[in-house]
Amino acid sequence: MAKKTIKKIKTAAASANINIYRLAVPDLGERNVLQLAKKFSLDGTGKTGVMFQKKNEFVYSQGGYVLTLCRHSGAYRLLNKLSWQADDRKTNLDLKEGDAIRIAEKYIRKYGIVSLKECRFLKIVRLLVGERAIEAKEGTERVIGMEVAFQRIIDNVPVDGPGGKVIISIGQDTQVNGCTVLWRKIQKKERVVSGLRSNQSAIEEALKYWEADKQAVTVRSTRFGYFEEGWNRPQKFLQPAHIVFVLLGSANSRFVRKSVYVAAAALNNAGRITPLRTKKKRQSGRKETKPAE
Amino acid sequence: MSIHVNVRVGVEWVNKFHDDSCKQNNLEYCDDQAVGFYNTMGSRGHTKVFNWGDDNAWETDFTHPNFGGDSLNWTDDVHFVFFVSHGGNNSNILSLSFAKKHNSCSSRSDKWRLGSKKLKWLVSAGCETVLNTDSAHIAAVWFGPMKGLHMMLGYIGSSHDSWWTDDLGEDFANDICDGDTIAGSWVDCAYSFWVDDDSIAIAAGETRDDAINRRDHETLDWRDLDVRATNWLAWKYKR
Repeated sequence: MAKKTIKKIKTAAASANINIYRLAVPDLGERNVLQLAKKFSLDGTGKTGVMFQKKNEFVYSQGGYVLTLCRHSGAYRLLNKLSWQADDRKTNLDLKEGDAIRIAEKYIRKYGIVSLKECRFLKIVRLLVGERAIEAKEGTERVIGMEVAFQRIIDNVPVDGPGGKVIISIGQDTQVNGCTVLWRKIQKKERVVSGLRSNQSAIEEALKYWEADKQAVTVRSTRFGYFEEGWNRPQKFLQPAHIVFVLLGSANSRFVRKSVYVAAAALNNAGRITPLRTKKKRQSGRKETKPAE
Repeated sequence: MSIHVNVRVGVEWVNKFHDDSCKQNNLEYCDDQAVGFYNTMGSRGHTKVFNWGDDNAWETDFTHPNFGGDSLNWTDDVHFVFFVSHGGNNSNILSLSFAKKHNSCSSRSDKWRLGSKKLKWLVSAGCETVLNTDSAHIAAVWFGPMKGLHMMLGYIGSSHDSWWTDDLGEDFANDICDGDTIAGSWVDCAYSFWVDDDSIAIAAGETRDDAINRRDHETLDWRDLDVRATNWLAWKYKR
């Protein structure tokens, strides 16, 4: 599945039929959370489960299951806390990638999470544990979980960024014990993209962003796709973007960190994506004192 | 599940470096991560002890007095420290980078005795808590500095400084204040599917069972269950 889809993915050069979409305001409220719980075969009546609210989230808990719905993005996560990240201290999850993908796809289909036609396999991440004694010559390591991530595709263009993903978690018993759905609903097509700027101009914009620091910034790579924000962020529009991956520092720097600049790619874009740098309040000078007890 | 103990919290972060021998690339979101952790822990009833940023974050706060530092009055006088800046691992020594010299521009892990007084948990959200997951490397970096510290939390290789991870500290604090395990919460919150920030939690223990138990089950409520000797390390990571 993955290879077939990759061939069809558009690049920045092909701008036909790329759009800017207005995203729907997330469906929130306790009723929506209970409906979502029912979708995953939980009771969802509020009688056997407990519903509570946190600053950014609605949470429904029933037995070992915890369903969390984010206020800002409409993203949700269902975890079986009895088995998620659990380790029986002996099993090494020896699941071939193809089998893990099949388990994940079956789960997505069973609960109608998203259409598999609207996404492609992205990657498999393993959760590992290890131990070692101070005098030992070697340690031990085992896989205790796998997470299969699928990437959203719109107009044959991949959705990039922290969002636009469905992630299925598989435990030591090869059973699914969690899913995370970061997939904002589209309300309508806002407008057709009139044209795309080059990724070179996006690189220049990225370098300008860090220009004030007068320091080495090394461009590692660029990608093109729709950009979807992460769990905690509201987002009004889904729009195409050039994503510039950089190294803050040079090849010779002793310390480096990575960063990302995301530039709106459409000539008629829906506004900037990477927030402007803000002037931050400085702390007053520290005196040579000891902390209070 | 709620937490029943009060945790003393300290955070240090560096966004802006002096243009001298301490010079490194400036960062943008270290304050958001560290202060987000600090304020969230405070709002959940824990004790906010220090929040030192930029020039106020000092190398001596981490370095043990045996090596000219003042750690016992700062990082080792609280239970939980969250640090974000540049980090670099060379010859199995993690160095944390500071904005200006307060003795030195960086604090080296071979000059740490973490947990010799009060510290239980340390997050280093910059780069290279470890370079890889070879057990010899993890052991070489962390058996020495962990002298009572329950758990070291950080990244394998480099991590990102960006707006979409600015809520890491807040998210992590909320999870552990809800009673989630510290290692599990860190590995889950800090990992990024998008850009492969690979998170790792390293627990210490007197015995194998002790280290594994801490890795798999320790919450803030384990504050006073001391690590009597760091004979074992048990780690968990996503990759």
